[in-house]
Amino acid sequence: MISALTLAVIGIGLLAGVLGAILGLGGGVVVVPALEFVLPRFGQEISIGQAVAISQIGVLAVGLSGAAAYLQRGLVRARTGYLLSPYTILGGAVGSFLGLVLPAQAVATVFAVLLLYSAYNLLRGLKRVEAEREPSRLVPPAMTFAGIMSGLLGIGGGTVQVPVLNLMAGIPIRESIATSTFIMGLTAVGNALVYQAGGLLDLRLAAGVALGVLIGARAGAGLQSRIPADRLKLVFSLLLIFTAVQLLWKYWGAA
Amino acid sequence: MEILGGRVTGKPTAPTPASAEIAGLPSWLYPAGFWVGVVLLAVGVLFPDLAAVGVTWIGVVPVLAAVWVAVTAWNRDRRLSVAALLALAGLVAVFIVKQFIPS
Repeated sequence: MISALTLAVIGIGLLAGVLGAILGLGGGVVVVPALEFVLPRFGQEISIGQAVAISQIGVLAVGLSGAAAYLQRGLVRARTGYLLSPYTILGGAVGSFLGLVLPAQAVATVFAVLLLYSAYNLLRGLKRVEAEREPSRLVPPAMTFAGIMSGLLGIGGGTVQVPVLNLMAGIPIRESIATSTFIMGLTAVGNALVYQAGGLLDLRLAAGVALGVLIGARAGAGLQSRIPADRLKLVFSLLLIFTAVQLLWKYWGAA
Repeated sequence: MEILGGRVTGKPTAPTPASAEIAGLPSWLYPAGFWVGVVLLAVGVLFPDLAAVGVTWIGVVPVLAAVWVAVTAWNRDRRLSVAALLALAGLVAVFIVKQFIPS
Protein backbone atom coordinates (compact mmCIF):
# COMPACT_ATOMS: atom_id res chain seq x y z
CA MET A 1 0.00 0.00 0.00
CA ILE A 2 1.38 3.41 -0.95
CA SER A 3 1.38 5.87 1.95
CA ALA A 4 0.10 9.45 1.74
CA LEU A 5 3.67 10.61 2.27
CA THR A 6 4.85 8.62 -0.76
CA LEU A 7 2.05 10.06 -2.88
CA ALA A 8 3.05 13.54 -1.71
CA VAL A 9 6.68 13.11 -2.76
CA ILE A 10 5.60 11.67 -6.13
CA GLY A 11 3.42 14.78 -6.48
CA ILE A 12 6.41 17.01 -5.74
CA GLY A 13 8.40 15.20 -8.42
CA LEU A 14 5.51 15.53 -10.90
CA LEU A 15 5.32 19.26 -10.25
CA ALA A 16 9.07 19.63 -10.69
CA GLY A 17 8.99 17.62 -13.92
CA VAL A 18 6.06 19.51 -15.44
CA LEU A 19 7.40 22.95 -14.47
CA GLY A 20 10.84 21.96 -15.74
CA ALA A 21 9.41 21.06 -19.13
CA ILE A 22 7.25 24.20 -19.37
CA LEU A 23 9.45 26.86 -17.74
CA GLY A 24 12.92 25.30 -17.87
CA LEU A 25 13.13 25.71 -14.10
CA GLY A 26 12.04 22.67 -12.21
CA GLY A 27 14.85 20.83 -10.44
CA GLY A 28 15.99 21.70 -6.96
CA VAL A 29 14.30 25.10 -7.12
CA VAL A 30 10.99 23.22 -6.83
CA VAL A 31 11.97 20.02 -5.02
CA VAL A 32 13.95 21.45 -2.07
CA PRO A 33 11.40 24.04 -0.87
CA ALA A 34 8.47 21.72 -1.62
CA LEU A 35 9.99 18.95 0.52
CA GLU A 36 10.69 21.46 3.31
CA PHE A 37 7.09 22.68 3.13
CA VAL A 38 5.18 19.43 2.57
CA LEU A 39 6.95 16.76 4.64
CA PRO A 40 6.37 18.38 8.06
CA ARG A 41 2.63 18.30 7.22
CA PHE A 42 2.95 14.52 7.23
CA GLY A 43 4.79 14.51 10.54
CA GLN A 44 8.23 14.07 8.99
CA GLU A 45 10.74 16.80 9.69
CA ILE A 46 13.42 17.27 7.03
CA SER A 47 16.56 19.38 7.11
CA ILE A 48 17.61 21.43 4.11
CA GLY A 49 20.62 19.09 3.69
CA GLN A 50 18.30 16.07 3.43
CA ALA A 51 16.08 17.92 0.96
CA VAL A 52 19.11 18.83 -1.17
CA ALA A 53 20.25 15.18 -1.09
CA ILE A 54 16.85 13.98 -2.38
CA SER A 55 16.87 16.77 -4.95
CA GLN A 56 20.14 15.39 -6.37
CA ILE A 57 18.21 12.26 -7.36
CA GLY A 58 15.49 14.46 -8.84
CA VAL A 59 18.17 16.23 -10.88
CA LEU A 60 19.46 12.84 -12.05
CA ALA A 61 15.93 12.04 -13.24
CA VAL A 62 15.67 15.41 -15.02
CA GLY A 63 19.02 14.68 -16.67
CA LEU A 64 17.93 11.23 -17.83
CA SER A 65 14.56 12.36 -19.12
CA GLY A 66 15.93 15.52 -20.74
CA ALA A 67 18.91 13.79 -22.35
CA ALA A 68 16.64 11.09 -23.81
CA ALA A 69 14.43 13.73 -25.44
CA TYR A 70 17.13 16.18 -26.50
CA LEU A 71 19.46 13.51 -27.95
CA GLN A 72 16.63 12.30 -30.17
CA ARG A 73 16.15 15.86 -31.43
CA GLY A 74 19.88 16.25 -32.07
CA LEU A 75 20.23 19.22 -29.69
CA VAL A 76 22.82 17.83 -27.27
CA ARG A 77 26.45 18.72 -27.85
CA ALA A 78 27.62 15.54 -26.21
CA ARG A 79 31.23 16.12 -27.18
CA THR A 80 31.26 19.55 -25.54
CA GLY A 81 29.35 18.09 -22.61
CA TYR A 82 31.98 15.45 -21.94
CA LEU A 83 34.79 17.97 -22.32
CA LEU A 84 33.17 20.22 -19.70
CA SER A 85 31.77 17.60 -17.32
CA PRO A 86 35.03 17.00 -15.39
CA TYR A 87 34.79 20.62 -14.19
CA THR A 88 31.17 20.30 -13.06
CA ILE A 89 31.87 16.96 -11.36
CA LEU A 90 34.80 18.51 -9.49
CA GLY A 91 32.71 21.54 -8.52
CA GLY A 92 29.75 19.33 -7.65
CA ALA A 93 31.85 17.23 -5.26
CA VAL A 94 33.20 20.38 -3.57
CA GLY A 95 29.68 21.85 -3.33
CA SER A 96 28.30 18.61 -1.91
CA PHE A 97 31.04 18.47 0.74
CA LEU A 98 30.17 22.07 1.60
CA GLY A 99 26.51 21.00 1.84
CA LEU A 100 27.53 18.42 4.44
CA VAL A 101 29.67 20.72 6.59
CA LEU A 102 28.04 24.16 6.30
CA PRO A 103 25.37 25.06 8.85
CA ALA A 104 21.78 24.73 7.62
CA GLN A 105 21.26 28.47 8.07
CA ALA A 106 24.03 29.24 5.57
CA VAL A 107 22.72 26.76 2.97
CA ALA A 108 19.17 28.06 3.41
CA THR A 109 20.34 31.64 2.93
CA VAL A 110 22.22 30.84 -0.30
CA PHE A 111 19.17 28.88 -1.47
CA ALA A 112 16.85 31.81 -0.71
CA VAL A 113 19.11 34.12 -2.73
CA LEU A 114 18.99 31.61 -5.60
CA LEU A 115 15.17 31.54 -5.44
CA LEU A 116 14.97 35.33 -5.55
CA TYR A 117 17.45 35.44 -8.45
CA SER A 118 15.42 32.77 -10.29
CA ALA A 119 12.19 34.75 -9.75
CA TYR A 120 13.89 37.87 -11.08
CA ASN A 121 15.14 36.05 -14.17
CA LEU A 122 11.75 34.46 -14.73
CA LEU A 123 10.03 37.84 -14.74
CA ARG A 124 12.70 39.70 -16.64
CA GLY A 125 13.80 36.93 -19.03
CA LEU A 126 17.41 35.86 -19.30
CA LYS A 127 19.85 37.51 -21.64
CA ARG A 128 20.51 34.99 -24.37
CA VAL A 129 22.53 34.65 -27.54
CA GLU A 130 21.43 32.70 -30.61
CA ALA A 131 24.57 32.93 -32.70
CA GLU A 132 27.55 30.62 -32.32
CA ARG A 133 30.60 32.35 -30.80
CA GLU A 134 34.14 31.58 -29.69
CA PRO A 135 34.18 30.23 -26.13
CA SER A 136 35.64 32.37 -23.37
CA ARG A 137 38.64 31.20 -21.35
CA LEU A 138 36.51 31.60 -18.25
CA VAL A 139 34.26 28.66 -19.19
CA PRO A 140 36.12 26.01 -17.09
CA PRO A 141 36.04 28.02 -13.83
CA ALA A 142 32.45 29.10 -14.53
CA MET A 143 31.40 25.47 -15.07
CA THR A 144 33.20 24.53 -11.84
CA PHE A 145 31.18 27.24 -10.07
CA ALA A 146 27.98 25.86 -11.64
CA GLY A 147 28.98 22.45 -10.27
CA ILE A 148 29.52 23.90 -6.78
CA MET A 149 26.06 25.47 -6.83
CA SER A 150 24.57 22.20 -8.06
CA GLY A 151 26.27 20.23 -5.27
CA LEU A 152 25.47 22.72 -2.54
CA LEU A 153 21.85 23.43 -3.47
CA GLY A 154 20.65 20.37 -5.39
CA ILE A 155 19.83 22.41 -8.47
CA GLY A 156 20.20 21.32 -12.07
CA GLY A 157 21.44 23.66 -14.72
CA GLY A 158 18.75 26.15 -15.64
CA THR A 159 19.93 28.88 -13.31
CA VAL A 160 23.72 28.87 -13.63
CA GLN A 161 24.91 26.35 -16.21
CA VAL A 162 22.73 27.39 -19.14
CA PRO A 163 23.82 31.07 -18.99
CA VAL A 164 27.47 29.93 -18.78
CA LEU A 165 27.11 27.68 -21.83
CA ASN A 166 25.16 30.28 -23.77
CA LEU A 167 26.91 33.53 -22.87
CA MET A 168 30.46 32.32 -22.17
CA ALA A 169 30.86 29.11 -24.18
CA GLY A 170 29.03 30.69 -27.13
CA ILE A 171 26.62 27.79 -27.66
CA PRO A 172 23.17 28.78 -29.01
CA ILE A 173 20.46 28.80 -26.34
CA ARG A 174 18.52 25.68 -27.38
CA GLU A 175 21.67 23.60 -27.49
CA SER A 176 22.89 25.15 -24.22
CA ILE A 177 19.73 23.96 -22.46
CA ALA A 178 20.05 20.47 -23.94
CA THR A 179 23.77 20.19 -23.24
CA SER A 180 23.33 21.45 -19.68
CA THR A 181 20.69 18.77 -19.09
CA PHE A 182 23.08 16.16 -20.47
CA ILE A 183 25.97 17.32 -18.26
CA MET A 184 23.86 17.51 -15.11
CA GLY A 185 23.31 13.74 -15.16
CA LEU A 186 27.00 12.97 -14.59
CA THR A 187 27.39 15.82 -12.10
CA ALA A 188 24.41 14.67 -10.04
CA VAL A 189 25.84 11.13 -9.83
CA GLY A 190 28.91 12.45 -7.99
CA ASN A 191 26.80 14.77 -5.82
CA ALA A 192 24.42 11.97 -4.84
CA LEU A 193 27.36 9.74 -3.88
CA VAL A 194 28.64 12.39 -1.47
CA TYR A 195 25.24 13.00 0.14
CA GLN A 196 24.60 9.26 0.42
CA ALA A 197 27.94 8.84 2.18
CA GLY A 198 27.04 11.69 4.52
CA GLY A 199 23.91 9.79 5.56
CA LEU A 200 21.51 12.46 4.29
CA LEU A 201 19.94 10.57 1.37
CA ASP A 202 16.59 8.88 2.05
CA LEU A 203 16.36 6.45 -0.86
CA ARG A 204 12.63 5.80 -0.41
CA LEU A 205 11.69 9.45 -0.68
CA ALA A 206 14.23 9.93 -3.47
CA ALA A 207 12.67 7.09 -5.50
CA GLY A 208 9.24 8.76 -5.20
CA VAL A 209 10.55 12.15 -6.28
CA ALA A 210 12.52 10.66 -9.21
CA LEU A 211 9.50 8.66 -10.43
CA GLY A 212 7.37 11.81 -10.31
CA VAL A 213 10.02 13.80 -12.20
CA LEU A 214 10.30 11.20 -14.98
CA ILE A 215 6.53 11.06 -15.49
CA GLY A 216 6.09 14.83 -15.03
CA ALA A 217 8.80 15.73 -17.51
CA ARG A 218 7.21 13.49 -20.13
CA ALA A 219 3.73 14.90 -19.46
CA GLY A 220 5.03 18.48 -19.31
CA ALA A 221 6.51 18.21 -22.79
CA GLY A 222 2.97 17.51 -24.07
CA LEU A 223 1.40 20.28 -21.97
CA GLN A 224 3.95 22.87 -23.09
CA SER A 225 1.85 24.20 -25.94
CA ARG A 226 -1.46 24.14 -24.03
CA ILE A 227 -0.55 26.03 -20.86
CA PRO A 228 -0.24 29.83 -20.98
CA ALA A 229 3.40 30.17 -19.96
CA ASP A 230 3.18 33.91 -19.22
CA ARG A 231 0.60 33.53 -16.46
CA LEU A 232 2.36 30.47 -15.07
CA LYS A 233 5.60 32.45 -15.07
CA LEU A 234 4.08 35.21 -12.95
CA VAL A 235 2.44 32.82 -10.47
CA PHE A 236 5.59 30.75 -10.16
CA SER A 237 7.75 33.86 -9.63
CA LEU A 238 5.51 35.00 -6.80
CA LEU A 239 5.65 31.49 -5.35
CA LEU A 240 9.46 31.55 -5.50
CA ILE A 241 9.56 34.89 -3.66
CA PHE A 242 7.13 33.62 -1.02
CA THR A 243 9.19 30.43 -0.63
CA ALA A 244 12.43 32.38 -0.25
CA VAL A 245 10.91 34.55 2.50
CA GLN A 246 9.47 31.47 4.22
CA LEU A 247 12.82 29.66 4.05
CA LEU A 248 14.62 32.65 5.57
CA TRP A 249 11.96 32.90 8.27
CA LYS A 250 12.25 29.19 9.09
CA TYR A 251 16.03 29.32 9.52
CA TRP A 252 16.52 32.86 10.84
CA GLY A 253 13.16 33.76 12.39
CA ALA A 254 13.76 31.80 15.57
CA ALA A 255 17.36 33.00 15.93
CA MET B 1 11.19 26.54 -26.19
CA GLU B 2 11.35 28.12 -22.75
CA ILE B 3 14.24 28.86 -20.47
CA LEU B 4 13.50 30.49 -17.15
CA GLY B 5 10.20 31.57 -18.56
CA GLY B 6 11.47 33.48 -21.56
CA ARG B 7 10.33 32.25 -24.93
CA VAL B 8 13.12 31.87 -27.44
CA THR B 9 11.98 33.35 -30.68
CA GLY B 10 15.18 33.67 -32.64
CA LYS B 11 15.88 31.67 -35.73
CA PRO B 12 17.16 28.19 -35.02
CA THR B 13 20.83 27.97 -35.74
CA ALA B 14 22.22 25.60 -38.31
CA PRO B 15 22.44 22.04 -37.05
CA THR B 16 25.78 21.21 -35.52
CA PRO B 17 27.99 18.60 -37.17
CA ALA B 18 26.09 15.66 -35.73
CA SER B 19 28.78 13.03 -36.09
CA ALA B 20 31.25 15.06 -34.02
CA GLU B 21 28.85 16.36 -31.44
CA ILE B 22 26.70 13.32 -30.76
CA ALA B 23 29.88 11.65 -29.53
CA GLY B 24 28.93 8.22 -30.84
CA LEU B 25 26.18 7.75 -28.27
CA PRO B 26 23.76 5.01 -29.34
CA SER B 27 20.29 6.48 -29.90
CA TRP B 28 18.58 3.79 -27.81
CA LEU B 29 20.66 4.17 -24.65
CA TYR B 30 18.94 7.11 -22.92
CA PRO B 31 15.33 6.27 -24.01
CA ALA B 32 15.84 2.67 -22.82
CA GLY B 33 17.40 3.99 -19.60
CA PHE B 34 14.38 6.24 -19.11
CA TRP B 35 11.76 3.48 -19.43
CA VAL B 36 13.70 0.95 -17.37
CA GLY B 37 14.10 3.72 -14.78
CA VAL B 38 10.33 4.36 -14.69
CA VAL B 39 9.65 0.66 -14.10
CA LEU B 40 12.36 0.20 -11.44
CA LEU B 41 11.38 3.38 -9.57
CA ALA B 42 7.70 2.34 -9.63
CA VAL B 43 8.75 -1.00 -8.14
CA GLY B 44 10.77 0.89 -5.54
CA VAL B 45 7.75 3.00 -4.61
CA LEU B 46 5.56 -0.11 -4.22
CA PHE B 47 8.26 -2.09 -2.40
CA PRO B 48 10.39 0.47 -0.53
CA ASP B 49 13.09 -2.09 0.26
CA LEU B 50 13.87 -2.07 -3.48
CA ALA B 51 14.00 1.74 -3.78
CA ALA B 52 17.80 1.64 -4.01
CA VAL B 53 17.63 -0.36 -7.27
CA GLY B 54 15.71 2.31 -9.20
CA VAL B 55 17.73 5.16 -7.75
CA THR B 56 20.98 3.37 -8.59
CA TRP B 57 19.77 2.69 -12.12
CA ILE B 58 19.14 6.33 -13.01
CA GLY B 59 22.69 7.06 -11.84
CA VAL B 60 24.13 4.17 -13.83
CA VAL B 61 22.73 5.32 -17.20
CA PRO B 62 24.95 8.43 -17.64
CA VAL B 63 27.93 6.42 -16.39
CA LEU B 64 27.24 3.66 -18.93
CA ALA B 65 26.98 6.31 -21.65
CA ALA B 66 30.34 7.80 -20.64
CA VAL B 67 31.97 4.35 -20.63
CA TRP B 68 30.52 3.69 -24.09
CA VAL B 69 31.90 6.96 -25.44
CA ALA B 70 35.30 6.49 -23.78
CA VAL B 71 35.71 3.07 -25.40
CA THR B 72 34.20 3.70 -28.84
CA ALA B 73 35.83 7.13 -29.37
CA TRP B 74 39.35 5.98 -28.41
CA ASN B 75 40.58 5.57 -32.01
CA ARG B 76 38.30 8.15 -33.64
CA ASP B 77 38.48 11.13 -31.26
CA ARG B 78 41.11 10.67 -28.55
CA ARG B 79 40.38 14.04 -26.87
CA LEU B 80 36.71 13.15 -26.46
CA SER B 81 37.56 9.70 -25.17
CA VAL B 82 39.97 11.18 -22.63
CA ALA B 83 37.32 13.74 -21.55
CA ALA B 84 34.81 10.95 -20.95
CA LEU B 85 37.50 9.01 -19.06
CA LEU B 86 38.29 12.11 -16.97
CA ALA B 87 34.60 12.48 -16.10
CA LEU B 88 34.55 8.81 -15.08
CA ALA B 89 37.79 9.24 -13.14
CA GLY B 90 36.19 12.16 -11.30
CA LEU B 91 33.29 9.92 -10.31
CA VAL B 92 35.68 7.16 -9.22
CA ALA B 93 37.59 9.71 -7.11
CA VAL B 94 34.34 10.86 -5.51
CA PHE B 95 33.41 7.22 -4.89
CA ILE B 96 36.75 6.59 -3.14
CA VAL B 97 36.74 9.82 -1.12
CA LYS B 98 33.12 9.38 0.01
CA GLN B 99 34.14 6.31 1.99
CA PHE B 100 36.06 8.58 4.35
CA ILE B 101 33.01 10.76 5.05
CA PRO B 102 31.48 9.99 8.43
CA SER B 103 27.72 9.42 8.05
